[in-house]
Amino acid sequence: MTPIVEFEAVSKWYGNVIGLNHLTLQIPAGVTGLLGPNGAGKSTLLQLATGQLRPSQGQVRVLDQSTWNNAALNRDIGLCPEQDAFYEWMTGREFVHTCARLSGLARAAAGPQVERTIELVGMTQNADRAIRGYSKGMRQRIKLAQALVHEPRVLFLDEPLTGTDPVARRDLVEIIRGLGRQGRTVLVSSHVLYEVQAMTSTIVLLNRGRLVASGDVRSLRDLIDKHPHRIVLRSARHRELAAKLVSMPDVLGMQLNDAERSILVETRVPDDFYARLPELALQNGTPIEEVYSDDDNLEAVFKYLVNR
Amino acid sequence: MPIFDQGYQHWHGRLRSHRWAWLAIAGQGIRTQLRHRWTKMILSMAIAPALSLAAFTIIWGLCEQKAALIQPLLTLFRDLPEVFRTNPSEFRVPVWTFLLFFFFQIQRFFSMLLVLVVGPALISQDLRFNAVPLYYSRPLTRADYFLGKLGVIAGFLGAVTVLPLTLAYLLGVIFSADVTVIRDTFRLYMAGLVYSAIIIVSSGTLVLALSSLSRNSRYVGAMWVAVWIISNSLAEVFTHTLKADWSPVVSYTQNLRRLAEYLFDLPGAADRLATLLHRPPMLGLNQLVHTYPWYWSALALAGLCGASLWVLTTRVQSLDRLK
Repeated sequence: MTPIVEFEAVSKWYGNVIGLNHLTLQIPAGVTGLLGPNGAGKSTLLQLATGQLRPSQGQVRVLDQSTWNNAALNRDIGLCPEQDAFYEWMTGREFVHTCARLSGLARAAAGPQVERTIELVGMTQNADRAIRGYSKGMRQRIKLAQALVHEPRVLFLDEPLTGTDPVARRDLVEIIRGLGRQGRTVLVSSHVLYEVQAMTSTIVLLNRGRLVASGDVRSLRDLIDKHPHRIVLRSARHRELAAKLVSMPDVLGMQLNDAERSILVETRVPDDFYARLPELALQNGTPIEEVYSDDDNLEAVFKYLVNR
Repeated sequence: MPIFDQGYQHWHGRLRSHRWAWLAIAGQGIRTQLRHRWTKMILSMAIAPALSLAAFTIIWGLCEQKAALIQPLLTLFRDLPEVFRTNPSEFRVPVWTFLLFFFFQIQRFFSMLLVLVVGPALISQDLRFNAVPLYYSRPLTRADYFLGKLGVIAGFLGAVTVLPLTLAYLLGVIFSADVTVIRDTFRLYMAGLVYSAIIIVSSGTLVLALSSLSRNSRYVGAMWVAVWIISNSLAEVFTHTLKADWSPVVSYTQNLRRLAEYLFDLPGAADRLATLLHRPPMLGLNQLVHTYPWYWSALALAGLCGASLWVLTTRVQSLDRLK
């Protein structure tokens, strides 16, 4: 598959701090998730890809063109930045209209296109309110609208779901998936694994400016599954529950916390473990009040992937 | 029966070249600034000198025609020399020169005020609201960005200089009902246009450079006041203490004034008036004119523009510089 976005041995320094470290990466058409903990270099990568930063070393190409100092390429690129970058006194409609005009849409074409884009992101009803009164979810939607208004072929979305409520999140995920289905290239960054999984199965993992893994999310899950999962169970009779758990072959270890009446279980087969829990809870009246994964966050996954 | 797609309808048009992108930036900036009370207030105050200029050019046109309408007015000025009544067109060039020169003297003040109100926020607000990436992620070059921001200044200053100048000139020509007016005064009209351009470019680049130095537009406003008023005061101090010819060169507005004297040929007009009235030297007009060469002021303003452009290009480069 022809890569749309290419990084070739790219490094970026901010003084003594390294943002990206000798990154070589190829991103195909469709939606690709860019995953990494805070400070991994995701925003730097996106800023390099949109030509807003100059690589200290290496070359960044989008649609087979160098991104640095290439304003014309921005006709085919849409950027939804992580930080709010608005004129707060403008209404959402004025803001998207201004962005459309800056992108080169003629006045006559801009009006209807702005309407369509605002409708696409579900902001029609709130488009005439000043941005300063928008919720975080509305801000994210209008940011997405300004990135989409000129129909770019390649979209870079920096943490587009941050701070959004479940409804906005579902809508935005659906929009992004739709863009991918239309054949556009979308690189969407996030530090929340399940958010990205909802949008795509193709992911790129960054940590401390380095590429940790890239490819299909299932291969990552396989890697993760080799790593003992830590699951916390809370029960009024946690010691009795622990006695039952210890007999299970896939339980590798346990830790009791009497103060919180909880058990920290380590297992290599989390799916099987979760499947047996309902039956376990019903046996001999040992109700389980709460179940959650202690390492269902990307930091833990990275720790495993980097140190494995 | 065909079933039409009810989903999102894509736009398939062509994006325009970035050549006109600066217009979109300027238009957006002008619309934003027009919402501010102070901008509207200063613009409306600046209309008074513009109306006065138009009124004077009309009156002068009627004078040249020796129109009956104007005769009662002339009787109020009993000291007017006879040549003024018999052959007023002899005074055409000096009168137009002084009209335009004094008009620009007043409008220069309003221009400085307008720049103070409009200019400081132009880049500082983009820095404050992180809006620069919004521009640089579009098909825009840095030149488009600066040109667009300069276009905001040009729009407002043009409205108080170029627009009234052109209207007054047309009215003057129409009411004089004499084609030779164009021959005699077109140079002055062009001088007015050049002078307006000098005010717009020099004050525009300067205030944009100042605006790029801070995220707080109030500080930028203070810097602009310092350049405008303090440099003027400094020139006054130098003039009285050092008594050097070049003292006004340290003042931004004095430099603008010196160029106006040169472009409108104020000394020439004063001499012409003195010759016609046989009263040299008259009305203290010679004191209106600076004695040092005009190109010192031109060089000072060119240097200021160059320094401003350098500040702009180093301050607003890319995100590398903004971090």
